Amino acid sequence: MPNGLFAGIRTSYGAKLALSLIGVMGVSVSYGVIVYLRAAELGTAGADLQSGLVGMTLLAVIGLALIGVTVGSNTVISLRQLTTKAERMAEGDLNVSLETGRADEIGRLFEAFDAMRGSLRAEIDDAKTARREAETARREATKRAEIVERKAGEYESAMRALADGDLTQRVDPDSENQAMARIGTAFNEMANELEGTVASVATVAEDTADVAGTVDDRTESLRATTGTVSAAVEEIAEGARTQRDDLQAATDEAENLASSAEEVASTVGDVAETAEHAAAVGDEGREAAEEALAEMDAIEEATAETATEVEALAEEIKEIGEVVDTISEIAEQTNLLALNASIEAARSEADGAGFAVVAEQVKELAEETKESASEIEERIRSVQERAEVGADAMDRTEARISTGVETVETSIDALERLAEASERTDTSMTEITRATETQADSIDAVVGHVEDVSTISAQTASTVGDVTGAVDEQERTLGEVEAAAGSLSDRASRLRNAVGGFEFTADATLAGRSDGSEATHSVVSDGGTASGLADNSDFSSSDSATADGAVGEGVN
Amino acid sequence: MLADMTVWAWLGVLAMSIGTIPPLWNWTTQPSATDESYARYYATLSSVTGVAALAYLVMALGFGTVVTPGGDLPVARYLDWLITTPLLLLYLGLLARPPRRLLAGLIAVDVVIIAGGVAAVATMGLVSWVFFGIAAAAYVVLVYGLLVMLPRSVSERADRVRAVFGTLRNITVVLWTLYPVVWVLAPTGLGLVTPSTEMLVFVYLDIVSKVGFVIVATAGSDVLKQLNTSNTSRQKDESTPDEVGI
Repeated sequence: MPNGLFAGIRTSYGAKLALSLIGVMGVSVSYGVIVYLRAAELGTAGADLQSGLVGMTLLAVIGLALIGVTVGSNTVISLRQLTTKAERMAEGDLNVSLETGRADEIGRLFEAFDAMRGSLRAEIDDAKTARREAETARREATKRAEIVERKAGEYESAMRALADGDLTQRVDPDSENQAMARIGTAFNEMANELEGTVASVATVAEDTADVAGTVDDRTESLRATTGTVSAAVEEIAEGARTQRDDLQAATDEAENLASSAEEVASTVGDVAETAEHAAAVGDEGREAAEEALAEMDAIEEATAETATEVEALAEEIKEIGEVVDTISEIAEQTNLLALNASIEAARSEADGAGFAVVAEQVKELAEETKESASEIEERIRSVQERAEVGADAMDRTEARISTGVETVETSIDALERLAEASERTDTSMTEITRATETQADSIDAVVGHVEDVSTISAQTASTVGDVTGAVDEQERTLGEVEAAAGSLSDRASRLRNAVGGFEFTADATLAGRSDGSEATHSVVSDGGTASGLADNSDFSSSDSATADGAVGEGVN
Repeated sequence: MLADMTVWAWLGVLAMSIGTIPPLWNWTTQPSATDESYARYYATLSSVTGVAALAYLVMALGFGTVVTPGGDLPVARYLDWLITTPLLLLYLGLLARPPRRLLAGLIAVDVVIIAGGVAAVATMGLVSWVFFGIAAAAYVVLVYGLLVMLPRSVSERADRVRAVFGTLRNITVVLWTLYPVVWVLAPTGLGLVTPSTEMLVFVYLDIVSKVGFVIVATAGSDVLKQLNTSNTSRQKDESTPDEVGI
């Protein structure tokens, strides 16, 4: 509902104006009420003022209402009327009344609409006149078209008959329409030309069909001969191919043999090399053994020297033992002396006190010496024992070295024998190698011969292939000639059939060939050559000769 | 007191007298050939302002007021209204050419309104408001007649006639609606304004509604010719449309 109301206001100028005026009235009244209430505070003095305010407000409202109903209402009514009339004019009613007593803008608007209506009427009248003229022109055109159509109908039936093959058909070119008359004449000329052309084409087709038939027959026989040659050549080619294959197998076998001989030779070489290597190793072993022998002799010598030295050492140690025994005797004697001294001292009593002390000291010294001598003696004894042990060891070493020397000497002998055996093997291997190389050379020679034979065989096969290709080509050429002859024959037949459907006057263009009869006849082909050949034997034979020549070229 | 009531009355006399001139001028300068047919229009229009001018003259001279229980009754003013409002309705009727009974009914309702007003002034309290209510109800009927029923008749008239009729009808409806508002604000109703201000406002309202009406009607007097012509043509042939060229 508010939407509808809003739309109503939006589309109505009167409603807008009324709303504006009511708004201004509202403002005036509101302000009047405010001032009225303020003036009420003044008491009785303000009564007149209040009354005056109300009066002023009323005057303002009345004034606004007057403007609304005179100016606004008048304008709105006029505009509405004008709108209604304009809408009626838009719907096509140009007879609406457009009178007004006003001279202001609205009056001028009415006049402008009136003028517009006048020009619209004029335009519509013009359009009607133009339509009437167009109608008349169209009727005349229709009449003319009917005449042309009638004539065109006649022409059409004549042309259809012509299209169906009746070349004797002609039309009557007389017509009111110049163009149609010209077309009729042209059609008649065209029909004459066509009739003549078809008659000559029929004759040529007959001739061509005969010639093509002859060529076909000759080509057939030539093709049969070529087939025989081709088969023979194919057999030769097959034989050559088999021979070539056998030779190839022989070559392969020989090559296998050669390669195995080479393998043997190379194996023998390897064995010889190994034997040489063994001999070298034997030599080296012998040298090393000899060196070891020398070293052992040197050790034996050194050991013997050492043993001597050890024995000398034992002797010296024994001497040292004797010296020590002497020292021990001296010490005992010293001790005995000291004892004596002490006895003397005891006898001499007091005077000998000091002497007794010295004797004591000497005694002690002698005892110490004796002890030291015993120690040395013990040590010498242990040294002697050890020296004896070392001497024993030396003796054992000497014995072992002697054994080792013997063993090495035995090894040297063995190695020398090995070297000799290796040299003998080497010699045998060299002989085997030489024999094998001779064998391989012989096989190579065999292979060479076989390859020569194989090459010759391959040449034979390729020559046979060339011959076969030539025969094939010849055959193909013959096929093409045959196809061409067949196609020519077909076309001649078709042409004869096509021409056969036409109806024409025989003497139109065949005056020189035919018997001059003017009767209309149809050419009906029977596919044969007899009827045509009778008339044109010369032409036919010359054509056949040409065909022969062409076939001969194809064969070569 | 801004000015005496007498001053406003004299102002009313002056304005009404000036408002009488245009219809009289048109009446006298009109070609005599058809004077008879236009006479009643101009007579009606000049009577409206003329009677009003006389009424104000009476009031300006200090007569025409009768003391009633409800207060002073300005007899001259109500008498003026009792005569001029039917005349205004009559002029609208002359333009619209409604059925006679409709026009008579509208004038009768108008008389009821004025009479109700007089009764309301002369009485006091609730009774006064009851009479005012009766008059207001009658006024609603009158407005309905002017807005709905009378235009049905005028729709057969020429555009120009309808335009002038519409403007005059709007002046009548809108301005007359303000009379009861002033009546309520005046000492006769709530008493928000002094008698002097009431006088001023009524004078202004009278001038606007009567002189304005007369001037607009006179300015649109060219419709009278169409009115007559169309009337005669309508008598000849009912089916012929009103449009008679441009």
